[in-house]
Amino acid sequence: MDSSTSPFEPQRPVRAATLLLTACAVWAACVAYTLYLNPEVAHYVGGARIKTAWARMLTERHSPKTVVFGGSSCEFSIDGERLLNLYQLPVANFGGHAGMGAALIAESALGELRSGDTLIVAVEPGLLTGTADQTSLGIQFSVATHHPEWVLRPALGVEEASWIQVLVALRPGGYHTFTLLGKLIRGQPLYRYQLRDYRVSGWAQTAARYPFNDPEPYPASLSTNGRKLLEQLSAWCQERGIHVAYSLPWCYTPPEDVAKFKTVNAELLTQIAPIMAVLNDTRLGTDSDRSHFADTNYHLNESGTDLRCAEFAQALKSWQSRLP
Amino acid sequence: MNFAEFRFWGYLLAGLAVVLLARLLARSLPEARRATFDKLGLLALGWFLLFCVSKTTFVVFLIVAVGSFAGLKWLLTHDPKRHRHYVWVLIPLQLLPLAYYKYANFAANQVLGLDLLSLKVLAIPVGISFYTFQKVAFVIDTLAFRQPLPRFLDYMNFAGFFPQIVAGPIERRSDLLPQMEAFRFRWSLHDFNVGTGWIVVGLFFKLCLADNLAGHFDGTSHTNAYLIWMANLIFGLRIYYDFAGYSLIALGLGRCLGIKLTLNFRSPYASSSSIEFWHRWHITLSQWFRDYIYVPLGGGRVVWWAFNVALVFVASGIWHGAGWNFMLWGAVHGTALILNRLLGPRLKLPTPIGWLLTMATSFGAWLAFYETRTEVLFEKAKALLTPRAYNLTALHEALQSWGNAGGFVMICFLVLSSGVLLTEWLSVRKTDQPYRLFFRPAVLIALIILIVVLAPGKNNGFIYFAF
Repeated sequence: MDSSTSPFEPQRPVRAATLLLTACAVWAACVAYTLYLNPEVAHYVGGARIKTAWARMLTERHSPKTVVFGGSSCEFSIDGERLLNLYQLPVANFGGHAGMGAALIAESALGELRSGDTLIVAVEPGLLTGTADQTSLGIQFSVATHHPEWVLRPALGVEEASWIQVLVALRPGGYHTFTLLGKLIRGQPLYRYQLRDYRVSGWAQTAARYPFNDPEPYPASLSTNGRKLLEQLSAWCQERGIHVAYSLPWCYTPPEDVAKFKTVNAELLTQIAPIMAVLNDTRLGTDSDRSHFADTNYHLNESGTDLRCAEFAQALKSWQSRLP
Repeated sequence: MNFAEFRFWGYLLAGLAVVLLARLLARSLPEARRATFDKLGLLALGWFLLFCVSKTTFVVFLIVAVGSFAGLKWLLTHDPKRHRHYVWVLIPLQLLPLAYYKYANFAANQVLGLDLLSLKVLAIPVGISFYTFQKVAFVIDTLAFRQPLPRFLDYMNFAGFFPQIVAGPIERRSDLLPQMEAFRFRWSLHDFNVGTGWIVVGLFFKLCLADNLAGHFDGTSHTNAYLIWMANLIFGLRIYYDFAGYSLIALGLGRCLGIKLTLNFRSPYASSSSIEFWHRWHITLSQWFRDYIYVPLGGGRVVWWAFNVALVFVASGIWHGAGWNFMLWGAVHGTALILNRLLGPRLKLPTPIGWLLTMATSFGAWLAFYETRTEVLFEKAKALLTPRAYNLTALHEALQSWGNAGGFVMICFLVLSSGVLLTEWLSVRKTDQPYRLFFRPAVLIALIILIVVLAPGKNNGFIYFAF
């Protein structure tokens, strides 16, 4: 059928300009929603304020300090208050949502580093062995915290996002819209975590307890992007007189899988070691005690954090004592 | 030419701006030359956009297009009386690039087992199946209807009109060529508004429905009949919204330029028989097979009509891809059509029953379309056809996998997709114009809102680019 024979041609032609203006108006509304109302973005923006305030306090009173960054495993396991009070280690936690991407979380941590500080990379192996595209959540977070340069002109030289990518990312998208709708219908909180879950140092804890799956396997070799990120971080720190090391995050691992994951992690560490120092960890990132974890296999609870901080403090002090 | 990418629209606007600026500078030319100038502008724009897709695509297109024209010209000028014999040489020559890029790997490595690596890594130029078929049709139509050879410039615009070159609709000489011969950059507000409407509906189909459904396709289960049916359902809806979306955008872009292209889909999932389905799905390809294979073989009026149907559908399957699964897909549809023709008049099923059977066949057959691993394909088909596979344990497993947040989102998109199909069905029932209701101003505005809010950040490419 020829389209011209169809009666779609309206009696009063639909004005293309009206459609274009509608699109622009809706887009603007989406941007406003994403930056100011989106519960997930708002949570991480609030968390970033807390973390930055703690880091600045340490800069003022306890320099040189240590900045740790990684995905949510870092956010849920490194308690700056505990490390300062019990182990006299001034540590700022810049852990974030893994969905933001390792490079973006790294960018957010770099701004608080000063010469003489230490940077601990505690990124989950899955983020270093997979692809590292700019993610929507990462872009949303960077713009909402007034740091679009983290994605448009990243200091670490990872792939830049274009303005178009940024604009496209500043919308909720189908998945977010409908999950939000589902939560509203079921009367659930709009985001799993609350701002009050953050402690003063930016360490996060949650009362939520969900059954979680066993850890997903990942390759035993760094991806090109993962390697590049570590190399760029190392070079960036070296230029600025900042010490840098890698620390494996802890992950709940069923006892029968411990040997397998230890082997994979050991292989990864041998690839990371030529790029940057690696903090000692006899567990090689595995923890088989389920009572240490909260709602996912990477989120430590209070007792897990207690143990992790103790071992982390020991490893950090031991490494720092050997620094020239 | 991925209409779902901003890059395409950027290139299009930039290219169009250059052409129109040049046109402005050349406004003192005489009228006849300005007409030629416009056609050259359209050709340059099309070539530029095709070149942006890939150099290989552009070069292969030129070889097929120019080769077809040159061959036809040679036939018409050197031996006009015996050209019917030479056409059997020219058409295989036209099909040669398609055969090489699309079927050489399958023939050499899978059928003959030669294990040639150079063929395994061969990339198929985008749209080769579409424009090759259009050129073959052009040659046949020109010779069969004793049409004159058009001007080369008009032919090249016919052969490479950018909205439809990479994924159709496969246009015929009688429909598109006269429009190209009369082409001018005239800006009709009416055409522009109608074209914009088509583009909005197409973008809604692609970005909002197809791309979101794509994220919920899960073909990992080999044995759970419920999960396999869900994968078939998601894939069937996705491919419709993906391909129809592309076709509607092409229609709209053409219309904005004053060119009327053929509607390639007419709400196929509103069909209540297999025969009707194939009058509504990928219409220009169905018509191509009907006119250039089915009818020349005797069509439906000969004793061996069932063989003709089977041949056409297996050929249609092979057109879609080089693989046993595509042949099976074609064979399933061919069988359904034969049964429909044999039993339909006798059984006279109520329309809802006919619709259910047609949908079961269509969505069941999508399994053979997306599952390229032959062994897995048969394992899944066995699960679908085994009554025991529909047990409570399997149902429980399926419900569990849909019970999370992702499952809820999937159901939301299925509901939205079903609403769209229902709207199409209502339109078809009233006027046989499936997309009529979408053109109401309020609906178009609602579609724009849904596109902006719901489109995922990443697009998945168009499935039919692979063909």
